[in-house]
Amino acid sequence: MLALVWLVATPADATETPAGSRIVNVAAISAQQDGRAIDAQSNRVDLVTAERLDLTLARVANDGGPVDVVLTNSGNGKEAFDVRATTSTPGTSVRGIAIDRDGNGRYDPAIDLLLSGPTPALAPGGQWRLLVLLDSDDPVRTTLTVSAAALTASGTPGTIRPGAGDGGGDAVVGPTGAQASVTIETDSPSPGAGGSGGAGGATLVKSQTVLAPDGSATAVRDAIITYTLVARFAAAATAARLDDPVPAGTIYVPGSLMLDGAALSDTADGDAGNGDGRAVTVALGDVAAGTTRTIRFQARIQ
Amino acid sequence: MPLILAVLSLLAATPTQAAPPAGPLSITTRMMVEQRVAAADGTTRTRLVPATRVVPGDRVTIVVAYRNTGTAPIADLVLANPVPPSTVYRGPAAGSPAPDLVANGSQVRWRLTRPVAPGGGGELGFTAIVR
Repeated sequence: MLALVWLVATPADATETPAGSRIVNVAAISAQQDGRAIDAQSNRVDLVTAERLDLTLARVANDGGPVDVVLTNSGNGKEAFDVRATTSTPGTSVRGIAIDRDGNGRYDPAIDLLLSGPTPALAPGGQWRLLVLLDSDDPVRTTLTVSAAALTASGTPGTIRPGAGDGGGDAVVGPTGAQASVTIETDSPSPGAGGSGGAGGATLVKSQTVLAPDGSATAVRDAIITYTLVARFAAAATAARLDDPVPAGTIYVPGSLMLDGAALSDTADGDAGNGDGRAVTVALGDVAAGTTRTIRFQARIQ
Repeated sequence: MPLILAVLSLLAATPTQAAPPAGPLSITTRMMVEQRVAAADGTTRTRLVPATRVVPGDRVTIVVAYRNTGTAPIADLVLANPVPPSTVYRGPAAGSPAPDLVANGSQVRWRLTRPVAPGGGGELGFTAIVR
């Protein structure tokens, strides 16, 4: 089985006072005078907690999948972020950046949100896995720079935008400058994912196309997603097997499973394929070094 | 009518949000933050200024100022200040005596051992960190 590996990022400290919370102080004084109690209350001081804008970006290992980074809102307010990615290699460009909603490290148009502008607002301490999609489905060796900045303000720490914080308070650029970038050298092929019983040296690249009932590529109900999984074995592997769950929100199209262009039955029988509606499984057996196998199947968006 | 005039001027000087003093005790509070000030000789010192904006991690100094506005001394004065929610008590403010009680970190209390003469008063304070 080909495995995807990633690190789970530690959630940020969510106990900070949320931006917009009021900090109120009232003091009291009391005494006894001539046998009776006297007292008084002070004025009320009421301060709105400002929004500190901060974020972190960290790379997540995602063998065989798209470049994967985790964006953490380390500020104390709800904030949207501008995310950009550029590549250093001529002829290679960034097709888009998607929020990996199901956190499986793979881009799935039926589930994941392809960004067409800033991200939606992220709660303080919240995290998103972001998938950087290149225009090539094949692994390429390039240098990617992924950068993110808070939409409200970024730049010099301490910069203030009056009234722009949550709850009407001020927004203040925090120590991170409310911006971050990571530079990632992508490798081709990447080691780490191995066939079961064999040595490492396998990569798995998953891509997909969408065909909607109206002929467009919009991910709408009843659109058909064709998934293509290309497994490359740099080293020989024994009893290699590929399992791929059918994404939530879709149903497997019966009879659509193919290996290297040849149809496979859905039942666990004599051939290599098995599609039970929840996952597709293809037994690749023993494969020689340098082998590439292509699996294709379809799912319908619910 | 000098006494009435004095009371009127005292009312006028009271911050607008303050409850009018019903008796001979007056108390006001301020929330302050440290501000760094560069002096002409190149050194930096800090001073307390009224807080206008705080973020988590900031240290605030809460000052309470009391005064005996009556005509007789007042003994056994107790000042109580709940620690504002979303802050954590740290300690007495610079120059302030330590509170006699910090109840569960949620209430700060001072008990004055000496009577306060008419017209007399003072300031106490503590620091807290915004969570």
